[in-house]
This record gives sequence, structure tokens and C-alpha cells, in this order.
Amino acid sequence: MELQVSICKKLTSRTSNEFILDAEFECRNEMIVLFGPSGAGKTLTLDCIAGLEHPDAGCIRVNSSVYFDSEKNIDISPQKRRVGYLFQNYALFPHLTVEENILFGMSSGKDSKELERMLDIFEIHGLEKRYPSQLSGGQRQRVALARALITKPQILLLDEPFSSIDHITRVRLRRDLKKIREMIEIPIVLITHNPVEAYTMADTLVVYRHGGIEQIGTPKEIFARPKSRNVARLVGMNNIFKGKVLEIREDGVVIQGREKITAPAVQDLKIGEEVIWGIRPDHVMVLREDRSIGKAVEENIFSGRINEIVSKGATYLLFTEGDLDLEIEMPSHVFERLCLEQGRTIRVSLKKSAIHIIREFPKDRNIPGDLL
Amino acid sequence: MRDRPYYADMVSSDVDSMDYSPLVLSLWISLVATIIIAVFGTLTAYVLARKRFFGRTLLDAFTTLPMILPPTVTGYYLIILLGKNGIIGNHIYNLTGWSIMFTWQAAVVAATVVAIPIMIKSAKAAIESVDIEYEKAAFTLGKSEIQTFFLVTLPLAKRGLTAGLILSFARALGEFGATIMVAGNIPGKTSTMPLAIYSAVQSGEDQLATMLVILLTAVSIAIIYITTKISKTDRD
Repeated sequence: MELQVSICKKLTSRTSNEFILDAEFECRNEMIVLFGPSGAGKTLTLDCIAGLEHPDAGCIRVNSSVYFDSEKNIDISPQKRRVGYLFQNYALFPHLTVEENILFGMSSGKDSKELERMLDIFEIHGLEKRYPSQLSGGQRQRVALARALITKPQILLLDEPFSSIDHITRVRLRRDLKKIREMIEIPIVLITHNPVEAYTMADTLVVYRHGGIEQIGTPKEIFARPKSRNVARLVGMNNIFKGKVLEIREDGVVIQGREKITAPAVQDLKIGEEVIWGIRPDHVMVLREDRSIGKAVEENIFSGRINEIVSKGATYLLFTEGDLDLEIEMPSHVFERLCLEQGRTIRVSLKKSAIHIIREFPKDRNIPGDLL
Repeated sequence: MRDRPYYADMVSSDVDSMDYSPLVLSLWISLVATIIIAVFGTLTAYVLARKRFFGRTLLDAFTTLPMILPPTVTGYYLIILLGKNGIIGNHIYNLTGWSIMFTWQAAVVAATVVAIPIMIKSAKAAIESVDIEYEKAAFTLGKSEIQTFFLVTLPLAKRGLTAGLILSFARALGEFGATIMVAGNIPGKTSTMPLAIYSAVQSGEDQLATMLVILLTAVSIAIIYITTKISKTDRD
């Protein structure tokens, strides 16, 4: 089970600047998540895999079948690629019933056994005679999945399946996708711009940005060790600072920015080198005033004034101003126990092991609107 | 018997033997024209709506032209094209000894050319309003472009296409200028309703003219009624 994509495509339009998609990734795992902001070329990549768009150059291969190869002049038609495609709005045919929709791709006409199986898997019995407009969003999605899977595709493409559905349907879809993975062994490519979905669903995460790929890896790797500040922002590493390497010790490096911090050692770092470092909001530890500081958190202690408090339900976000302007995320019960309120000055510890150093300056493409 | 138009002598003499009433003739000619329009109008509209090719704007403009041009001008171009010495007509005449001029078929051609832009316009809008994702979905489900057109695009654009056809039929029914240029006004053969009304008025047969006018008005009102009904269910 293997998917290999290496494509290049230039899009020009009269209204906006040209867009260049230049994507290359190879996966052996089952679930590949294309992650990134909208307009980064994720859907275009899916369309190229499905054969609905034609890359200018490159090659696309699923297992042993070559879908596209510009050098060998191969461009298999979408009809012959055997791709299961779940469109963002499902694209269920509004003039056909659920049953007719599911059987649409079957060349042999009605296959009652297969239809029954699909109705079972997606628990959509009793809806056969309904039209898509008479279904809920979740039911529509399951019918669309059944329609895509009944043809036994070689690969399954899912365009933003988690957007525009409610929480309960989302939980259910996660379960359904797990079921699909147990049922058939084909690569599944899923698009999302939600970091939580990207983290929970992916075996391999492909981070897109402006038509290019910024980073490929396991979700754990990417969320903990983003390669660039853009990836860092995308995965929610919202505390990002600039600094210069001041000192390299055996157990870590000292970085001088607005404040001095100690970070874990990184290979080949030079003294005086400009770096970016970051820490996830949920890795910032707020220290209790009534307790002495333990040895483990002795380093990187800063103080700041709470500027804003945002409740997210299960967690709270604090924005502080002080030595370092930080975003802090903490569970609600911790927030309540600490009796925090706006205007109070708190002390925080940035655990050394949670600090991540990004070295990206030379490679970064110059795109306006970037924050730092 | 009414006066024959001066060019009636130019065609074969079986005029009297098949003297259809102007209404039957009009309905027949419009029906045949509408069938031709249904096929070629829809095809052209699909190409214009879904394909990107060099000269697309030109084709769009060209197919709109008969709607803008005075029908007599369109008729004149048809004579240049289909007349005995015309660009195409000349070959047909040389091969078969037959010319389409002043036959009911010529009236069909005139009605078709004048009415087809209406069909192309509304069919193009109807096809464009079908979300292209449905067609893409059909492609990934293994259906060819032709299968997709008949199974997906056509049913989803059905109402707009039907409305376009009815309007084209109405336009064909009222066609006068191009018809008189290429088909003449031969009673029982090419004298359609609008032409018969004209002849009746010209020869002072006011009663006949009134009758024909009422008939044509009734048919037109029926068409408007049907069209609004179709577009109403469209919105539901």
C-alpha cells in the first residue's frame, strides 16, 4: 500500500496572481492528512490524484498503478483510476434517491448484496428511497462515503470531511473512518485545516502552505518540532520568539532575546546564530506563589501580568504581558484552583524540554503578511 | 381561392393537393425546428458552458447573432448560403437537382436559425447552474462524459432546458422575416400563421386575419402560461 505524489502545476487567473502547486510526498501508511490553511493547494492535489485536474509535470502512483507520469505521457482518465472521492459538499446527485446514488458507480447495475453491506456499515437502512435534500448532514456524508466505497476504489480521497458537521457527527465520522480502515486496506488521503483533526487522524501529516509543502512527518513530530514558524503557528505553537545563541553548554543552549532562556541542545548550532524558539501554550507552567520552586522548574522563570482571560470550556487561555508576552493554556480546574484574575502578576516556568528551536531563516520564502 | 404570391409559380404544382391550414403548417414547422434546436442548441450550450477552447467567445457571439440581426438580414444570409447558387445550396443542387428554397424545409431552417439563440442562451445558463462537482463525482464513479451528460447534467438542467425549448418554439411560431425570404409565402406549403395573417390583411380579408390573430394569440398565451408554471416549480 503506497501512494507517491510528485506534481507541479501552475494556475493563472486574470484576477489574482499566479499560483504554483509544487507538492511531493510519498506515503506507505494508511491515513495521510493534508493540513494547511485554505488556498494552499490541498484540494488541487486531491483533484490531481483523482484525474480531475492535470498537473503540468510530475508523477502520481498508487501501489503499482501509475495514474500520471508526464515523462511517459501517462494520464489515466478519472473514470479508469478507481478513486473514491468524498467531495467537500458530498456532491450527492439531488435528482437521485439514496439507493440510486450509492449504486451510481456500479457498472453491473443493481448489486443488492453490496448495497446491503454498505447500508449496514454506514447504518443508513431505511433511507434508500429518500432524496439527498431529505437527509441530515451526517446522513448525507455517510451516503456519499457508501457511494465512494461500493466501487472498491484503490484509494480514498476525503476533502474536508470534518468541516461543516456538528460535534456528534464528527465523533461518528471518526468511528466510521476507523471502520473503513479495518475493512479495506487502501491509502486514505484526508484534507483538514483543523489542527486537532490533523493530529488525531494522521499517520502521516503533510503540511501545506502557498502551494508548497512545508513539512512532512508524524503528527507528534510536527506538533512538537515544527520546522518553520509557519508550521509552528499552524499547529498551535503560538509563543514564538526571536533570539541569538549566547552560550552552548553540554546540557543545552542559552538564547538571548528580550530575556535569556535555556533550551535543549541542538546539533550544529553556532554561537551568535539567529534562531527562533517557541513553546506551546499548554506547556507553559504557572507557578503557585505559596510553594517554593522545585528543582525541575528552576530554569526559565519569568513574570507577567495577566492581560486577558478567555474561557474555552475545558481549558482557559491567559495572555500575559511582561518579561515575555505569552499565551498560556491550562485546564479549567487548575485555573480555578489558582484563583487567577485579570491584572494579576504571575510567575511562569518554561520547562527546558518543552522549548523548541526553529532554524529556518535562509530557506524561508518571502511571503507578505507573515507574523513574528 | 386566394391570390397566389408571384413566386408560387417557381415551385412544383402540387400546392393545391396538400393545402394545410396555416395553423397546422406553423405548428409542424415549429415542432421540427424545435426538435433540431433541442439537439443542436443543447449541444452548443453544453460546449459553451463547460469547455474552454480557442474561439469560444467568438462562437458565443456568432450563435447570438440571429437574435440581434433583423430576421430579413438573417434570411438574406440564408439565401446566400442555401440558394440554388448559394455556397452550400449550389452543391446540393448540382448533386440532387433539388433546392431547399421555397419548401417547408426552408421554413424549418429559417425558424431554427432565428430561434436557436434563445435556446442556447437559456440552456447555457441552465447547464452553468449545475454544480460542476456533480459531474466530477460522476467521472470518479466511472461514468464517461456522455453518460454523465445524460445521467447528471441533463436531469439537473431539465427545467431551464424545457423553458428554453418552449420559448424557442414560441419564437419559431412567430417567425416571419427570414421565412418569407427563404420559403416565400406559398399557401398550404410555406404560408405559416404570421405570413397568412400578413396576406389576409394585404388582400383585405379582415375576418380571416382576425381569426388567425386570435388563434395565434391563444397559442402564445398558452405558451407563456406553461413557461411560468415550469419556472415556478423550478424555484420549489
